[in-house]
Amino acid sequence: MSDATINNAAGGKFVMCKEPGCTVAVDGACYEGLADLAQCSNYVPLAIGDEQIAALEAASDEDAEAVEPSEEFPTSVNLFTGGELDYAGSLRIMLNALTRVVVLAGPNDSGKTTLLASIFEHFLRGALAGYLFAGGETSPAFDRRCHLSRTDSGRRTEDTERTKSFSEQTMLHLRVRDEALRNPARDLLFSDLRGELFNEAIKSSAEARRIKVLKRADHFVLLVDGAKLADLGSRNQAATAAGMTLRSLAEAGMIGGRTLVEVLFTKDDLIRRTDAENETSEFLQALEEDIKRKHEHQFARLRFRRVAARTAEGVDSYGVPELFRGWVEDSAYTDTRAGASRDGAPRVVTSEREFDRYAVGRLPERFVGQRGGTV
Amino acid sequence: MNERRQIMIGMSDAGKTTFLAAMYHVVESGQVAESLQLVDLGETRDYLVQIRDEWLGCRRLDRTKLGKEQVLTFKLKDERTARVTELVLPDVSGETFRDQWEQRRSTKVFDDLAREADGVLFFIHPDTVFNSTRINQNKEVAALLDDDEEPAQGKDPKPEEPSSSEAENAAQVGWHPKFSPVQVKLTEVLYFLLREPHLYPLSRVAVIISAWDRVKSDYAAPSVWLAERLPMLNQFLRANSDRVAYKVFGVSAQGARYKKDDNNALLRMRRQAERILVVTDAEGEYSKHDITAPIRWLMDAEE
Repeated sequence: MSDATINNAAGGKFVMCKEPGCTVAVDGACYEGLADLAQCSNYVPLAIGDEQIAALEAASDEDAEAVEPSEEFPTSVNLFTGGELDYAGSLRIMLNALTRVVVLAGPNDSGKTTLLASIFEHFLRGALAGYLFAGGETSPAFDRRCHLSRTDSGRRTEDTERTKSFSEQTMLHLRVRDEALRNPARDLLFSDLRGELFNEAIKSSAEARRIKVLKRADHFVLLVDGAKLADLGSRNQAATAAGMTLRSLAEAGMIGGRTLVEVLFTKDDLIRRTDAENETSEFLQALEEDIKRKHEHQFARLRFRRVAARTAEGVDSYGVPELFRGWVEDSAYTDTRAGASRDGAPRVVTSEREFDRYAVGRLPERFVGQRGGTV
Repeated sequence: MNERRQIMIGMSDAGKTTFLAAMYHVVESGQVAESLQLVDLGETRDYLVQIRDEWLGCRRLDRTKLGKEQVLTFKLKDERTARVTELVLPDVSGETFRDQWEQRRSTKVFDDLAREADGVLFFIHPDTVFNSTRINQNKEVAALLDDDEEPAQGKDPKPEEPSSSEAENAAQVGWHPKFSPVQVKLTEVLYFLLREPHLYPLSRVAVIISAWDRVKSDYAAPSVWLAERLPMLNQFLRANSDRVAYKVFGVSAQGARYKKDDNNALLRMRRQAERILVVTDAEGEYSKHDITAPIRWLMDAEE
């Protein structure tokens, strides 16, 4: 809930900020560090003119009742929106704690949003992979993604909302904690990107470099649509697109030696259905070997998984808990395997990454470099 | 004298006002020896007297309206310790919390109260807990029910209408926050108070399962009800328990569901406080009629 009310003026105007903790109304300092307040998406200028201010200041206690309270004085306090986090919102989470960034990549309908919805649905039933739901800044955004699979949607068949975000920087946030409560809570940021972004990334290195969140990703999860793999008419294109995506992003320097890569074959229940007829498993085996041969040496880790995130009638979903556990527990930053920090200490920022360098430039006092001290 | 401030949170019809009415009766009447006792009546008490009278008559209390919230002050004595505490307890409308989830805004009144509170009474009524249903799960249940039915004699089973995706998309209802499962809303209402940058000094949450009389036969303990019916909220409380302690109470402030014409079984009790039922996971931890138990637990937090 915002601490910023109409207590004071900033730059001669009364202002309010939707961001909790922002003191702009008190001291004029924007929480996001922006000099031009109009640039801040949380900034709410109140339409209170000098005449009204003067009238209030001039009113004595005895006259207080005679002054009509302005309708513009807020009796409500704005809360955080609960929608997808933009750059500023996600940066703050990354600064507060050791955060895992998981980027889900793949064409439209490959199952990215369904996978995220599935994770949230799991938490509605209980702990997931030994982890408790500890909160999150984007629960409404998660819940919205579950809507089309519920009877409240008025649908007869389950579906998932198509991702609408036009920015590669929006994220969903979850905080989790191990059931034994041995460790502090951990934050996860999920980037649910539109399929079109990856279609473009295959065609152009410049487009690949636009997906800036990849530079910070602990996990890059490439979804390959199981429905397409199960179909002879589309499986070759689907397999080729997967390989091209990895190659394009690796050559553009967006994923590499610090990235844990997972190739996820989604809708595995459909794959199994056509296995006998189309020898789909053999096809997938060959695809795995091809990708390993070309890319295994480029990444901190390369794994392949099969998952069925949405329950078909009579079929339980599977594969999600194992996937989730890996995202929470593994990171090349804290992993002692080759390429990671020798002392096991996580690096909040590494100066090689464009994303981090930008953050360091804006907020230098908040960052610690690789060997301690400010960068 | 100590001053302690607590807030009551919970959606509409969660039982907050009924709890207050019953509590006022208990602390004023002295009918429960173990409970906190009212030291003096205080200057103004018309609201408390009014809701207590309704409670004594087994009449359903009206919902607290937004804008009509009362901030109530009680001077209470704990007979165990002789400690006197001034308890400030606002009766906030449930619509405040509905708006927090749906409109993403809160009232300044509530915000100010929460900034001074160190404990939360978090009310949940079992009758208001509805969780959403998956379409496929619904179909499975429907299929099971169909299997159990006798086939109509001499008639072929009615074929299912083919679903056209265009027709389905046209008929579908867009997401609105009101559709979210209750446990998502309840968890978020608590999250507002506990999230960073920790603007609220809360250290304890007493979760109160209202109308406990209606569910007690199906659940061994209040915490079992919470874990089974509201798993997400249960996880949230557990995961954050080192920062904010919590305890689950089952409370029946009415004693039983009120009937339209005949509440004589309740009205006949000579000590009306004995209508009240309070349980925790540990049997015998508190006197079973001591409705002040959650408040006492909140007050027991270290200074």
